[in-house]
Amino acid sequence: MKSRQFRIVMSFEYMTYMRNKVYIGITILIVILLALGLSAPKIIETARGLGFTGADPDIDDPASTVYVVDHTDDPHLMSHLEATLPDERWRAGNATEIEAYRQQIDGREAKAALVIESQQNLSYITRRFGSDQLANISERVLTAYFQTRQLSEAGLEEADIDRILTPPRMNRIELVEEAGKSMEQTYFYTYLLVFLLYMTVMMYGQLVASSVASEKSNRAMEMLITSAKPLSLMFGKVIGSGLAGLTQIAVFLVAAAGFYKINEASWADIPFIQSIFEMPVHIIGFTVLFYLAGYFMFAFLYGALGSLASRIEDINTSIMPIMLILMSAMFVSIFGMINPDAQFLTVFSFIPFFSPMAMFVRIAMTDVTALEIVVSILIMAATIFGTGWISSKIYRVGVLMYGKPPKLGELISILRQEKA
Amino acid sequence: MELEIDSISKSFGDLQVLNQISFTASSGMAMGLLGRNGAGKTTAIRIIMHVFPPDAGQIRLDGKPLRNGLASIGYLPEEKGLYPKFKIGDQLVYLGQLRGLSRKAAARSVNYWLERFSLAWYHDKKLETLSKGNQQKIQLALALLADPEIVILDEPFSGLDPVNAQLLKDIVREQVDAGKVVLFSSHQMSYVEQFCDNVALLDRGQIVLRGNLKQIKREKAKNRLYVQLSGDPAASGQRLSSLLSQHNRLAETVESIEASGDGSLIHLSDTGSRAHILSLLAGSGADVEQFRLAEPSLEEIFVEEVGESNEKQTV
Repeated sequence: MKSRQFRIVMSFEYMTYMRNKVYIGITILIVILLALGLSAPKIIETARGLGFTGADPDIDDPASTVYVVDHTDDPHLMSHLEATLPDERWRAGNATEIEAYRQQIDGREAKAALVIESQQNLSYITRRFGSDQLANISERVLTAYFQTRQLSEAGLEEADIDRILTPPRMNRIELVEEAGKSMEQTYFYTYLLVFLLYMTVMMYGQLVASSVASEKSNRAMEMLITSAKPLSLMFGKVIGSGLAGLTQIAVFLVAAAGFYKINEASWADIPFIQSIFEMPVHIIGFTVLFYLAGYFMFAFLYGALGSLASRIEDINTSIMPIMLILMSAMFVSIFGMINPDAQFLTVFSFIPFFSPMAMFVRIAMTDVTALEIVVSILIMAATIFGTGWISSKIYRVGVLMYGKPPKLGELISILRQEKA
Repeated sequence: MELEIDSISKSFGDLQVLNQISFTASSGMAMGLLGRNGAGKTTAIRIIMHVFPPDAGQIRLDGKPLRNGLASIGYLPEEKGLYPKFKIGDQLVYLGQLRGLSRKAAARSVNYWLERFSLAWYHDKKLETLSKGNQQKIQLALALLADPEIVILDEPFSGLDPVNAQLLKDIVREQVDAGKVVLFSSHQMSYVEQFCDNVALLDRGQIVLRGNLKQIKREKAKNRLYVQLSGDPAASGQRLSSLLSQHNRLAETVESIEASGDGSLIHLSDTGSRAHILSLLAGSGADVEQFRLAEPSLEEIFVEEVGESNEKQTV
């Protein structure tokens, strides 16, 4: 490999991404989505301030009517509901009209009907259970109401009733040596980052494969292979694409962090969003490291398999084996997140192809010794070296081979011959 | 400069593609590598281009093994193609850089060649917007971009209209005159004939004919006699063949007589019998309009050499 050629190929490949309208478009789109998502509370707040009521139901709209049919004939029940849930359009109903209410609800002329047969038997009639939480809320309100009424009938004071009805609060305390490694705090960002790893490795790997195959199918390969060494071509392409991926990840992380900082106050009440943005800095370092490890491990193979395809259409079948390995690695890691201390996750964190994601989960969610991390990184480095070596062999043969992609057995015998 | 291909052999699996081929291309003289499809031309070129090594044999430039000579070889492949979605200027500069030019030198050279091919306007256009002939010109520009010492052109004329073919001819001649080693590969004999001083004819991995084209033609012409008698061509042809067949000694050496133009083409197995025929004609009182050696065209030589071996194969 000539280092000058390699640099030229790499910067050409990198600049190709930077000039690619689709690449730029997707990056901008995701940044906009991040901006909108992270600014959502502020946007909703501002909209409300401008007079948009948003999702609040219109109390004057007959279609939002909720009929209450009370078979217990409790004189205070209606007023209690109106007082506790003032945003709903409560209307006292008649037991004989039930059929009419049903029709109204079905025809979207009313929202729902709440039927109180007895204290133990409540019905909520609605057109379709969806995002409407009113059934659950009114069940809770009525339960408390009935309990309070009975206890007060039994002669208890209001203060005592409150004390009885207030449930205990469970404080969840995890004992972990290092701060920031509790399940609750780490789960979401680990999940996000594992998925980001999977998506970027898969996306850029496929881009490498289809780029090689298209160079073959449009015969630019003929010029490339006679102008530069195959190794420079393959390594330049893989590393150039890898840098483009890294650039994109960096843009996403910076954008997400930036928009979070701007809107930090609005997210104060939502702990899981907070946990994502308060992840330790070293996790970001490991994200980059394992992205690079995972990417190179797979990208060389993607490049090699791309070189075996003569047409873009052949790629999908060619790259199926790596896709399966990559997907298994993701599923093992996501599954492992449920119990990150499990034996199988430890084992997988040292198995080539699985280790980038499995080890990442372990580092993010548990305490891993430095030695384990080093061993895992060494295994990854060896794997990358191995895939790079075998891929360059395949690539050298593949780029000049046209026609049907060879079967695995044929490929091995061709590679053997090349050696001899 | 002399590019010497010495006893190159190459097999892919069980298939022997090249068997001990040797030929020499010198600067200032265009060399034509001829052969039917699949004869091994592209494989030979790829070996010269260091795409893969030969199983045996050596390639030398001025007596020294040709190593890493990529930068000094310009190549126009038979399978033409570049990046259709990229701007022409960008990809030419990129490939020029890969061939050893600095970015600036590549950009300068790209501008020169685009100007030369009247394609300067397309510098920032995508390749796919060009017609096939123009794309071919881009490829040729690419081959000459790094001012190579050796220029290899694989089927350069396919797909060019007469005007562009003339432009290509001018440029190739220029390269030859500038002392470049120019190696042509083609099965379009008429173009090769116009250009090449030397030829090597490849058939199923072997060189079957090699040397200076004029000498080869002269050599082949020794056994080819063109005779034209006055009068109706058909009748005089009849007369000629009956005259020759009457003569016992000539009947053995005359391989065939065929009509050619207004006269007849006589193939001889023995060059010595030309004098006999001349004296026979003089004695017969026939009115001889033309009596000369007939140089075969390259196409005829090609068909004769390669077609013959094909027949052998089928038998």
